[in-house]
Amino acid sequence: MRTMWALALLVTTPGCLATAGTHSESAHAEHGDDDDDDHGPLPEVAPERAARVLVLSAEDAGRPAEVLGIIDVHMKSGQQDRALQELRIRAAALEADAILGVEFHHGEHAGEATHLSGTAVRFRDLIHGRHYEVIADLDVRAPMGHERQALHDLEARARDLNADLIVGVHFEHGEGGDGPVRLTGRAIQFR
Amino acid sequence: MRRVELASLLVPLVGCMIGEETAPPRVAPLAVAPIMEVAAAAPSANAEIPLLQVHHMDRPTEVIAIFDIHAEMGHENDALAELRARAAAVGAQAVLGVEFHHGEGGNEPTHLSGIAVRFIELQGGE
Repeated sequence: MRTMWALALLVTTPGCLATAGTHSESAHAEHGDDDDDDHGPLPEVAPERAARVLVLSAEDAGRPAEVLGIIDVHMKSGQQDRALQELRIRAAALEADAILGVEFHHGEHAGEATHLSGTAVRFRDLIHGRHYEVIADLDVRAPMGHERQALHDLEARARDLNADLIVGVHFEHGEGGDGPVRLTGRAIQFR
Repeated sequence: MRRVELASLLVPLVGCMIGEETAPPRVAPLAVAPIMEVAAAAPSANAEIPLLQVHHMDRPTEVIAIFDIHAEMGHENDALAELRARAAAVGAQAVLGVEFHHGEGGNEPTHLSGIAVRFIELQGGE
């Protein structure tokens, strides 16, 4: 497992994932700031594919889920429908089945962007009933807009510990317009 | 913009569960009494839609719409009624993550936002 290095992020108790190919998407198309963040252009995705992405407010989908990336869409106030569509498109581009833990945060000040964030996952069981031991609790932070960096930092820490997977991954959107984002999880090793 | 605790707006909601972030309420006990003004003006099914500050519930909820309602200062109850009405119009069974932002100064509008959700059943396993 270690030689193949399939670091996994487990969103919920029954689920997990391989982070070697995880992504984070932070979109700030509507206010033009954060030039150095993870923002990428909106990918081209078939509307039918985007529509199939399940958007859930809960973090637990009730089935094993593999984290594919963190998505954070920033839009001007009043464009929340577009933000929701963009969330689906970015998740679909990651080939996600669902977005979990979706939260909407209104800007604190007039003219401040709104934030719509969630964790893109696909339904997949990476544990397959195997026994494992927890070797460390992981906790990383990164500036808002740098969710990809946070995800990579989380993976790097697990890798340093020779972990096989990270389970129980949890994303916290920063407070206000510029609070740091936080990612937590548990590094595990299979027995 | 000064942020005002939504709880102060929801004081008239006798019986409404305004959950803590760390302990989201279960759905079953949520019987929301209508807001007095709203109930008097429009006693309809949408008055039963719970508006919750918590972002997550302990049951599967699908996001179906995001609402961000702007209202003139002093019309907060109108905004609440509109939030419920919009939620009912899209078939929502609850609105989560409800936030109220008071406008700065005397003329800026207030903002009332939230995520409209419906309860779903998810298939287990792969």
